[in-house]
Amino acid sequence: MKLRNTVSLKLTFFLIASFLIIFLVIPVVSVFYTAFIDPYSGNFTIVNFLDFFKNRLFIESFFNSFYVAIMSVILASTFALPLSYFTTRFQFRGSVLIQSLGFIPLIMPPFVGAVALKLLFGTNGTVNLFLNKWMGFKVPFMEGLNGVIFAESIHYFPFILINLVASLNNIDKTMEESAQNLGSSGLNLFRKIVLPLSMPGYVAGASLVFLKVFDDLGTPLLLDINNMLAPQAYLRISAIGIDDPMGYVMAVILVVTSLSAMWIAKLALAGKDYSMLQKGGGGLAKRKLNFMEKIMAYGVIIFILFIVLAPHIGLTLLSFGTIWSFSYFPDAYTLNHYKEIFETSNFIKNTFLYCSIAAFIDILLGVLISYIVIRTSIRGREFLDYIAMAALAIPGLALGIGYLRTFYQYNLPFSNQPLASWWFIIVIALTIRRLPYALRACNAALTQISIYLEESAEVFGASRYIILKKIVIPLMIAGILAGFITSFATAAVELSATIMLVSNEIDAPLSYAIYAYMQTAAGRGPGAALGVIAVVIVGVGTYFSQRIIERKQSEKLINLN
Amino acid sequence: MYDNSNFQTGVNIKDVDVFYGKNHVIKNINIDIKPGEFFTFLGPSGCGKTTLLRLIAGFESASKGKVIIGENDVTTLPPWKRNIGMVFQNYALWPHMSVFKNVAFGLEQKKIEKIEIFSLVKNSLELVGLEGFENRRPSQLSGGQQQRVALARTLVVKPMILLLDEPLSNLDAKLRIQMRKDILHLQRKLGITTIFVTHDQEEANVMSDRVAVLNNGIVEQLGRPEDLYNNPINLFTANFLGTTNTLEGEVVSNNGKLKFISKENIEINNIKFKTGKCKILLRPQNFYINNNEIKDELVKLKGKIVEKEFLGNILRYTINVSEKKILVDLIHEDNSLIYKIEDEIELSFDINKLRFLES
Amino acid sequence: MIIRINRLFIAFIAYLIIFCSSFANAGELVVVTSFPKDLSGAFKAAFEKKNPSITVNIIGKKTTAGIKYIQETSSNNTSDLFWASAPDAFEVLKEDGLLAKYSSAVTGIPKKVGSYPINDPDGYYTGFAAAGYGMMWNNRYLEANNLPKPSTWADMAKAIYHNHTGMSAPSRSGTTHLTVETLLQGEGFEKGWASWKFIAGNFKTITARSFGVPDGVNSGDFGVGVVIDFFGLSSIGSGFPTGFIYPKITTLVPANIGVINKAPNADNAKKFIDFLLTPEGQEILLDPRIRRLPVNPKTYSKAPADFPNPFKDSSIGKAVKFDVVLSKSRYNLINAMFDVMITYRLDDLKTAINAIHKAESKDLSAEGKNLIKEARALVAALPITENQANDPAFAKIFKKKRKKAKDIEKYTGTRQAEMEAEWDAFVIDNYSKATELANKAASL
Repeated sequence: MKLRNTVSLKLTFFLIASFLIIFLVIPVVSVFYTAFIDPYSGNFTIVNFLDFFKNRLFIESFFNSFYVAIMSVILASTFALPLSYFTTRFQFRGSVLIQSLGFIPLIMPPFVGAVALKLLFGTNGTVNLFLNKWMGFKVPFMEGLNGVIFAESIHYFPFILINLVASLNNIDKTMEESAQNLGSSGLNLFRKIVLPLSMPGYVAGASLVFLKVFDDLGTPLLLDINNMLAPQAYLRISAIGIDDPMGYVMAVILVVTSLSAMWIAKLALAGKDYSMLQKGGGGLAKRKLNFMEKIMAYGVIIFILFIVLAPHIGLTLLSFGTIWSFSYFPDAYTLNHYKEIFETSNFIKNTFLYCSIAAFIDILLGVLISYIVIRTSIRGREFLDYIAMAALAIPGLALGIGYLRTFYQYNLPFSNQPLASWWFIIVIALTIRRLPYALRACNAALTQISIYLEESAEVFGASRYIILKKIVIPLMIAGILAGFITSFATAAVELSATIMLVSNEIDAPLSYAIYAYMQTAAGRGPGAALGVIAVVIVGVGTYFSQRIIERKQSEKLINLN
Repeated sequence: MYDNSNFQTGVNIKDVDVFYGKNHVIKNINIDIKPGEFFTFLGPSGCGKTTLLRLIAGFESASKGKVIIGENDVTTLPPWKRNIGMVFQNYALWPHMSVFKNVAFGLEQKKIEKIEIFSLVKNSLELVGLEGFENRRPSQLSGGQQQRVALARTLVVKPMILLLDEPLSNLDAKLRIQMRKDILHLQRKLGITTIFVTHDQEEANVMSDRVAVLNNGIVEQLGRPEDLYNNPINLFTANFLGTTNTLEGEVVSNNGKLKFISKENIEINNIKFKTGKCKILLRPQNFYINNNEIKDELVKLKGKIVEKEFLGNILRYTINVSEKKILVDLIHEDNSLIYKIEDEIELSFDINKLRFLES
Repeated sequence: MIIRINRLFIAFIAYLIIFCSSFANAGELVVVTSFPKDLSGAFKAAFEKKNPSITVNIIGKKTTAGIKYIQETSSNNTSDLFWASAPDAFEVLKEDGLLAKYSSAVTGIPKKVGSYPINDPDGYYTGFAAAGYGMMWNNRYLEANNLPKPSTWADMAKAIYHNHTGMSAPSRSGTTHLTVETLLQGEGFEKGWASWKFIAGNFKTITARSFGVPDGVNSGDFGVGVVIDFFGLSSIGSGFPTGFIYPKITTLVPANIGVINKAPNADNAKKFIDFLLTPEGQEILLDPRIRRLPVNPKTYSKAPADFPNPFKDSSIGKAVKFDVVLSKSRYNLINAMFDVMITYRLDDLKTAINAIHKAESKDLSAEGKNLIKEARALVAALPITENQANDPAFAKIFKKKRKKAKDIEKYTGTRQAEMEAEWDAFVIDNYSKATELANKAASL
């Protein structure tokens, strides 16, 4: 059932559509367009793409990006699988700890974690020095592409963990019991029944990880890996210029691959919605472990957790350390780095300003878009949803390039400054990139509200504004808050688009500052300190977001459907 | 195809206790099930019938007692080693496998050759009337079809006994009746010892050789359906299997004969029971209204109709006899007289049809 | 209505922002610089202290990005100063007419440092510090791996350093570019490229950013890095267990600052340049986190004992007379050559050179020695000649702005990407052949 399309709603639809078109569609289209233009003649051509595919380096970069993305998914799954299996199938006290600790890598800005990883796992890092001394060999954890794979899988494995735990918990226990009844148990049971049934959830998580790793710029850049697509594109543009067609070709390939991955995942999941046939109710009753099994389980879990928390450990050490060179740990410790960054606090201030505005706009758009899509019958409204969600597949790098391309010719009104170097463009880039998350949160919140609640208010003569203000939004508030905090927290550590759009230091946010600090010998300490602060911001934000959601859920006394 | 004569196995449940945390859900139960029997656990929700079934299957563990299947004490064996078949309430067909793979699963576990599996599965599907369904997916099947696949899957591995956990409760009425017949027919044909769990007394009555009525973790009464119905030994069983009227009161001596006086002062003479407090049970279908016959056995009571329910084939009247409401069922034939509310009538019943329970 | 309120809010904020940004501060100075915060921040703080009415706005951009920025905003110029290391960057801007003439009146600055003039003879840019190129190393790393400290470029090509060294690429870093160009000019085009290839054959990595080299040495990731001197000196100054040396073939090149044409705050800009050249300004260069060579000889009296002094120690920087015009003309071409032949094919190059080293460590027969000679020649082979490289028409293929067709008359229709693909095929072929030959030689 739908509500009437009032004029104000239609106007809102139009405004939002314009916003999305100007700040998402047009920049991306301009990237595609430029890739197909001959740099000399200005004519439409595919010669740039041919150049790309004739160049062995570029093809290598393409395959490397693929390779790294797939290997990251595999390694991340290796971390996630035992953790999720243990916590969903066995009774032991570590469960909750595991599930929440497994979430922590997500709140580490990936690029800065890479630096810490290099210190811990590099050729002459803590672990290898130790291994070499006591066992006479070293493991090339961080060499070349391995380093990128390692860093990315540590960072993104929670996506797979969360999805696996959810799908394992969703398997009806009779699925497993009936198999046990027919003679299956242990690994056989897992392989034939549990794993296939948890596939849809796994694929959802895995495809997201693939996407994000394929598009990631920060980690390879800080690890000095340039033969992957994203860093190649960035380096070409910053070395050769915004006119270099190859940068655009690479951006196009990034976007196309991302969209394809999303689409293939969707296809793979189609028709495999096993939830219909199952009544849920959780998996098998959790089994108790015997002593030996407990030791083994805890051993595996602690090992994985150590690896996964290594970036945080390394970063903290670096932020407090004086000199850390070719040694197990820093030579000495100090608080100076923190002092230094608090004295130059405009980065933190900028981040708060940008991310608050971006998150605010996100939830505003999120509420309005979901309201328009779900409640009205305005023609074309689904496109708002599609376009907003498509932002997920657009790599930050591509968006940044698109903005530079589209907005560089235009100046800010009343000023000499080019639009593309105005700090607000960074805010808009953050807004667009985080919108999908906020939109999903608002969507989920709104679908839980029965339309009858609004209609009964209409009967009493309330206007659309009053209905929104007094009924819809208060009922959605948990989802809105969650969306706000998620937007804020993830925007705080965004680097790919930011790095293209920051034009001077005064306007730079935290993520850029970390990158800049890491460029000087004396800057590693302060850079790490900033990184720790970023982690704290995101961590605290996520924690509060969860608490708010939980409290609001329990406050819902009325069954709203 | 399925010659079970060598495999007929009985089931013995001895002194079994099951706890869920502090909840004592199965209290010292003893049941012996004969080989080839169709045995039903009957009771309301929460009585422990499913727990008991799952215990036999190996999904619950007893804190005390034994489960013996045939000659084997399986109490400590895990489910996958017990070689018994179980059909779950939701059928538990695996959605990611075709019907063929579902049915073949148990055979694959036994490492049977592919060619043999193929023919065994085919036969099993034929047995349940689903020839040709091999390549369908569970999501394409109706509820009844899913259940048959579940049956086929269980039977194909030739288990020692068959456990059915409320298999009919998710089906609509007509299908339920049909499946009831089919399952029973199958069981008779195969001769496999079957334990059936249900809360529906009609099903229990129709299908079972014997029934155990469970309530709150204990067996209230065990026996053949007709025995339980006709001679309940407690109020619970009496009320669970069919409706019954209960009169509480006392049997006293009256000039050398025994007389029953209920709480509501309804008097019945020539009682054949012992003195003391007791309860009288009489089924609604044993009454007559305004039956003018005079016989020694016929007891007559005066009453007034206060409610009337038209159940299609039965007319159910609630009659007020001395402030006691008595339910009376009369068969509705085409030209039956239908009484009206407020009608004053005379109830009569055969005194031999009374059942007595000690208080 | 809720939309209306929110839109009002946004409009208000926008108004504030626009209002603020268009408000040109009378006491402002906008500096586009590639220098890190440590340096620019120190000078900014000291200058602002001396001139409290002026606010210095630092716009940090890498050299190439900075050049581009100034080129693209030239029609609406908002920047006052360009402040960077590489003199050829200034040459590019000078040629584009984007710099304004200014010669500071501050005294005490000599005409040359090493063999290089400190200021632009035409007066468009001013040198304020000098830098040379050399090698830095990590003491702990060398000790742990039993390696000696290097002293010449040729040392870095030795077999013992295989996989223990690193450098950035000239396309990523103006300073690295100068290093590469210096060796090419010092040893000659072909011999220079050969040297670079054999040095590169020992690289553990070619870092994506110039800072990646000192960073790698500091953290002990690799042992020896090719760096500009202040990276090495500031690492030592910051307490890292590192050392630095100038090899004989190096050049001292000034770091420069220039007033941008049509600067909105030209007077403030000139004040800033003056400040840099005063003794007070020059002393800032001695800060342990900065450590660049002052151009005022007197400042060295305040420097620590081990601080190099090019005015006293004439060995530094005299060996090569750096031709800045030549460097500028083939700037992008050299970048492209290095990247295609070395950076992007590092693994193949390393394999070839490793094979050669292995073979050379054995006692070779005469045939073996010939094969090795051939292999080395294959590695060193170049896809273009020196004449082509110095031909401005050819170099234009690699020019950034290729909007005009007349820019590529001689080599019509050739795109940079196309040329690079040719070279790529050339070197891969050669490297793999060299590897084969070396392996063959070893097995003889």
